[in-house]
Amino acid sequence: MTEAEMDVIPRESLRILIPLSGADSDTSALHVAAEMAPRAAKFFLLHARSGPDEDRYPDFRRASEAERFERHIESERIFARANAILASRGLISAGQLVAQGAPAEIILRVANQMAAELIVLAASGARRVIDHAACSILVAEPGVAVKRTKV
Amino acid sequence: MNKVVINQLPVEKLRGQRVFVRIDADAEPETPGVLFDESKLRSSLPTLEYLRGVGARAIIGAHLGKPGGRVVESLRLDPVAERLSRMLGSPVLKLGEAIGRDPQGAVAGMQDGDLLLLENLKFYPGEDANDADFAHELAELCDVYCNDAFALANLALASTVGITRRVRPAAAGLALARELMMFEAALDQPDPPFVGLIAGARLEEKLPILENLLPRLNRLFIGGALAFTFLKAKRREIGSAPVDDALLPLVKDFLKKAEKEVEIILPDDFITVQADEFREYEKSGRRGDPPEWRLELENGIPPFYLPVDVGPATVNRIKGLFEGARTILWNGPLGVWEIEPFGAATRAVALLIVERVSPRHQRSILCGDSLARAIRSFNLPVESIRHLTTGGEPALQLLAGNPLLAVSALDNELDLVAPIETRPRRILLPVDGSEHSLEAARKLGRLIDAEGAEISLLHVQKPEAFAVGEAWIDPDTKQRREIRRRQEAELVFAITKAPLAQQRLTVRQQLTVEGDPADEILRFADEIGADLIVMGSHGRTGVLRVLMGSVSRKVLDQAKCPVLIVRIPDKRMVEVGTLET
Repeated sequence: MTEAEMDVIPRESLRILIPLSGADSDTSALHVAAEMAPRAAKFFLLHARSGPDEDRYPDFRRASEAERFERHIESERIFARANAILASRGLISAGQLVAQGAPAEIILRVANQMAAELIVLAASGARRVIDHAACSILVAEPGVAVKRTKV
Repeated sequence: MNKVVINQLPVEKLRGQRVFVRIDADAEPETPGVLFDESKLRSSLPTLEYLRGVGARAIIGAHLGKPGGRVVESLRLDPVAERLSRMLGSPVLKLGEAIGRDPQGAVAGMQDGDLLLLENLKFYPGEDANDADFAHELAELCDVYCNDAFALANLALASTVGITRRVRPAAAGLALARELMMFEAALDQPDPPFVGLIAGARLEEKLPILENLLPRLNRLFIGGALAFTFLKAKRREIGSAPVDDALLPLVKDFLKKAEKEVEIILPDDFITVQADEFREYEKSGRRGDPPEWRLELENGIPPFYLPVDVGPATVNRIKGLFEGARTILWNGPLGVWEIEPFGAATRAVALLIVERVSPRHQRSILCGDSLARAIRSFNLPVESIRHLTTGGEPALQLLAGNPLLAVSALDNELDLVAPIETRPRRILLPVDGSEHSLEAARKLGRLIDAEGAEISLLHVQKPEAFAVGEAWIDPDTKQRREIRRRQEAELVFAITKAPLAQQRLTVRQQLTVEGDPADEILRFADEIGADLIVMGSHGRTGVLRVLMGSVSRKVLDQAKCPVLIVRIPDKRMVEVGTLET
């Protein structure tokens, strides 16, 4: 078998990364991912929160524990809704992660670290991710972001 | 409730059909010597009786304990089958396995109205993991799915979520529906005045619940260990009571906001013990007499004293709150009820609900594992409580406004009247014979569930660039060129189909057109009503980063359906590069 042919055979589960922002557009990405994904897929949810990356810039004012808790609650809500959408198709996420920083950079970094084979995005507005990701990309509502910017 | 309930399905959808019913029989881990929970079993009887009555063939799925994905002899479900048989007054056949040839054979031999219990589902690692293959095997056993296990509704198990991907219709059982409706009645349209009693421990778990309940409630009593942080926020003396200092700012914020909207009531008096003595008593495993207690009135708890229950003034206050209330929601015990004298307030309030509230056309919902255990331990006639939920964690999720996974997995009522039409997925795969487009074909079956999909190949050729005077080209040359182009297209189709065939994917149609590739792709996608456009694209190649091609870009910007951009992994791209040089 050539390497190309080998690639056709599933060696392990497909790792799919679904970045979430908490916006309504998350829903379409989740629905499309759940509907299109093959049976052996594993879904990883990433709440990419925009804000200073506190781990990388320790000088930046650190959030208080109360603030962290509020963020945690928000992320949990986002994950709960996302999992409910996956569950409506009989699926569930295999992992959930929250990171703060520039969303596109977080998505690219996490996709790399977890060796994601596919990133599912809501709209094609996430140009930086689409252009720079090393893996395949599924865009749920391609035209949407463009239409919005035209208005 | 917007979910289909089993008795809403037309009887002919059930008669003679194999219906998988997930029930919960598992006892609380805190009750030693008790294998299964009779009250949970009893709650599933209406659904099982209904199914038997309409002539369905009920295949019951359940579990006991945490066998961790392997067979544990002591956790076999035979006693459950026996008990169910007695409760239902008809035999429940118990199988030694849940999937495989034996269950398939047993199911095939079922008569209308028969009941059959599969072996402990948690003997299989796929159950907890919501494994697609295990779910598929369960799905093979049935035609209709029914979930009647509220206590498991927050979990995604193969038998509560995964199975619904393969089995339709998927409906709620009568017990599950009842639980959901009770919570909906309280949360969506509570009959005012609506009084909430939120107590117990774990502030971090209760804060989201308080936030979610706030706009719905008229009066809110905060009790249990939860109350200490609130009391501290109000600068009350709380002695040695444990406080979550980190969350104190949030509690202050909450109080500031909440007091504008509802009446907030905190405990007035406490039963306290000396903190040291209590610690010793706990360390000894609660042996001997509990520490001596005293009653502290509203002037605060002295240092080194620990509140373990609320006092009679607070119970009276709660009684006053209940007067005139139309909806009552109670979560979490008011004191350390496990130690006999300190369960007094919890017991007194439970008794209030049993004796006075329920008969007065008030709706009361009691929830939480700890509170349910407390109330059962008091030997009160719990049947007279309008609603004592069977699920602790799912109830808390509902109170916090979170969806329940196993409920999300069920059909919506709308699906009964207007089911969503399903047709094979239509995939458009533009091809040009390049490594990128071949990679898209190779990866298709891995990235997407393309089984049974209708795949259309589109080959867009650039219009022939006529040189000046060439318009008068002789027909022979023109025909030769035409043939060459057709051959080229055939070759492109052939090399694309090979990797597709290896994935057992078949091409439904192939088309060659001339024009601008992006425009033609978009036009053709519209024409065939594509559900997905799949495009190959460059990956990142070492130092030289090639950005996405203009065709993919344009398709991405304008497509009306999802677009999959398939990337070649870095490594291969480099190899292709060397091959080409």
